[in-house]
Amino acid sequence: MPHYKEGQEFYSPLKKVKGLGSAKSGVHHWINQRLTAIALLILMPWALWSIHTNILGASHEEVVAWLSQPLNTILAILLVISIHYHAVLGIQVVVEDYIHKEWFKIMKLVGQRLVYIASAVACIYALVSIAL
Amino acid sequence: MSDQDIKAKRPLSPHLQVYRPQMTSVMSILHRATGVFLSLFAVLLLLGFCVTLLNGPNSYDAFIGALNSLVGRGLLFAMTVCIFYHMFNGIRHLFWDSGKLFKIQNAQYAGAFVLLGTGAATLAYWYCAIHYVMK
Repeated sequence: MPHYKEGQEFYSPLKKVKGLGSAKSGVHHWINQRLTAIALLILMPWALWSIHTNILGASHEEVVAWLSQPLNTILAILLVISIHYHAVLGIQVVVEDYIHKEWFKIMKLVGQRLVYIASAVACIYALVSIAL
Repeated sequence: MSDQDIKAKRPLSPHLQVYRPQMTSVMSILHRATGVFLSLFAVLLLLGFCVTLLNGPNSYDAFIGALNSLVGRGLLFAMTVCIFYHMFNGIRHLFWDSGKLFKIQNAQYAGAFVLLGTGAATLAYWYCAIHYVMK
């Protein structure tokens, strides 16, 4: 598919491909996806364990008491950040691969980021409020 | 060569409808599917938990009650399957990222390990939940 518009037929090959290469930010995305994955490999077992030991069958008061302990608040906030960030990066890859309508794709990516940032902030606000 | 000629000679990616499913490809698709599922429901669960817990005992009890319904339990079960699958298969992906397990047979052995691990971990998790915690 030619990327040049009407009247640009005489551009040199170099001119045509300039600016169409790497966006220079893919590595950042790739590395952060792996970093959050490694973080979740530590945090998810903690969360799954905590569900059994401190959440299932516990009253609201007991859960609040457990979650208010500094280490648990910190781990929970880290879990919230890692899950939201990992989800945003993962969904971005899926959207970029399967959605080809440009305006829809951009809407999805922007909208999804805004929603996930809002969700993460709400979770962190709640966790901090519970702890303090 | 015109642009049309170049386009015609490009290799095509396999058409999934006529391409024999392989363990590696199916597991790759499942990794994405479980990821998309979790990006919706794990995030919602986390958000619901944090917000209702802050809001007080009434909201929190209603939230736990909803999770305890048949639909809620089904959703939670599906989520544990997805979490264990995505976690174990994610480890397999990290091995690939570091250059290991690229022989087809090794990739398949690791895949079988992931599937068995997912089944075993899910069953163990729910067994513990039902027998030791929720008595």
